Amino acid sequence: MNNYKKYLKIGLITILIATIGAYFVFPSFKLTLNSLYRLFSSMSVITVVAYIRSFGIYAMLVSFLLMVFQSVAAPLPAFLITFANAAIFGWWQGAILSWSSAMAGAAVCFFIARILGRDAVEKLTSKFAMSHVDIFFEKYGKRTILICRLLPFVSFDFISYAAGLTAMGFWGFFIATGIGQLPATIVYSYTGGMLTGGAQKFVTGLLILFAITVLVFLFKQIYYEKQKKNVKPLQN
Amino acid sequence: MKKFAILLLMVLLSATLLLSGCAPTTNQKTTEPKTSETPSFTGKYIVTADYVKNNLKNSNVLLVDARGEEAAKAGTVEGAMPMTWQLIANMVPKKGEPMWATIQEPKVLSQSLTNLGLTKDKEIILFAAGKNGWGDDGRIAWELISAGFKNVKMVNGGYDALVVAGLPIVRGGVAPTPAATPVVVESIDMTRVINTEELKANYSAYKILDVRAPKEYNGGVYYGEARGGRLPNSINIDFVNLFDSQNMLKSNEEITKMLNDAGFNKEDKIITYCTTGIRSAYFQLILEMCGFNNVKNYDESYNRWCVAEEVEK
Repeated sequence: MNNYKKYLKIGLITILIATIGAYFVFPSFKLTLNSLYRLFSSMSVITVVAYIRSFGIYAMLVSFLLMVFQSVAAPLPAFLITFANAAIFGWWQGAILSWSSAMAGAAVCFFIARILGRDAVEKLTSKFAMSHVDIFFEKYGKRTILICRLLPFVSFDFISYAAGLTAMGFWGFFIATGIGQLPATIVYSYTGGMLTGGAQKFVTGLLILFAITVLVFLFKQIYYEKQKKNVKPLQN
Repeated sequence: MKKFAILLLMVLLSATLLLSGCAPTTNQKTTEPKTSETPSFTGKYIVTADYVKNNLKNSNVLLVDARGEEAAKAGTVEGAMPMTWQLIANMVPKKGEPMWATIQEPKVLSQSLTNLGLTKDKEIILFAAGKNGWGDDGRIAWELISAGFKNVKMVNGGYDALVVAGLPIVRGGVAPTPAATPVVVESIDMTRVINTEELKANYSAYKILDVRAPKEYNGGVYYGEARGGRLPNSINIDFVNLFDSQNMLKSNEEITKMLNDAGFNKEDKIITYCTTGIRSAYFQLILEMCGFNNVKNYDESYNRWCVAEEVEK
């Protein structure tokens, strides 16, 4: 089991180094990556739509890969792809595509962090006697993720990487991500563009409200469980 | 009881959010459909995307993607030649040294233009990314016009407008075809150009227009300038203010009013500048088309000024 983990780690590091190496060795690869960076830095949905459309029948596949790519390379804005998908494939088809490709992207980030960083984090938590942090995420990780996903100003990719470092299970992370990103994905796909002014405030407010609701229930549960612990010794 | 209280609070909260949110949403929708009725920018260096569509097959037209090769790789108009302004700028000195990133010497420029196939007999139509770019199309146009080119145009709305107009989009542009007969630039017409010595010698005669973002004007260093600040007594109008929310140029009247409000009149001697003289070259041409006939772009711009002269903060 340990060996398998080790190989996985070596494999992943090799891929990462090979990608970085290829960037400097092959000018055409460098140009492609730079052009993708330029695509996102254009901040123009029309430009992204034209790019995805130019692939013809592979448009959907390219959009999917583009979303995974932007997840791993964190600073690029995902909403551009979400808007573009809605414009190209229709709002609900676009929403399904954006949602599922963002799920794949989140999973990739999660596993990269889990494979490369979890060991180090485990060592740290045991060294500084922070096992309660691990226990917290094992128990409440799902709801924490859900809260983060609902908040539009919390970086999607950062949370995926961070979750990979904690003790929480993959499926809990995955399901919470799926539910959490659903409202924003649907709203963005349906409106097909950046919300402005009142509409933006409204949606952000609603999502924050959802997040607070989850947070309240999370606190309540933690509180009750603490109470139970405190009560027991008295009874004995 | 507690549960009920929480529930009530939530319902109230969502109701207030709904109410506060709904009104502006409907407002937004009514303002959305525009484009056709609003007056658009006109000028001798500006063409529409439809004009490009109708003239694309014309063999005398050379369409240039001023965003460069990287951007073109992610999509450009079929047949467009990507290039950057650096290809016709003097990149030999180091940043901050005299004449860095300025118009090339006529001899060198002639060679560069020959290599790029940019000949004086062609109608050269440039496009870039509007306010999402640096006015790269304007910079190239400004330099070509100063080199004696008569038929230079820029597309209002840039690449996105061409996409919306339905022009064929491909990934990657065409490589330049060097000119059969060498291009000859005898001299640079300095009508639209100024550099540090001349500016300094007669500084008080000019009204200085800083077209950088306010964060740059107010002293921030974002693009590797030697130090933050601005030219003394300069007034700030951000380059992006030339464009509306649809990334189209505002109308001539709107732009003129914006300038007047900031204290610039048509008969004033105006100097535009930015970090390297790119956005400000675009701005110079736009002002010229609005009837401001004494506008010069400070080619060396802030990158040189902040090394050689005193700045204001």
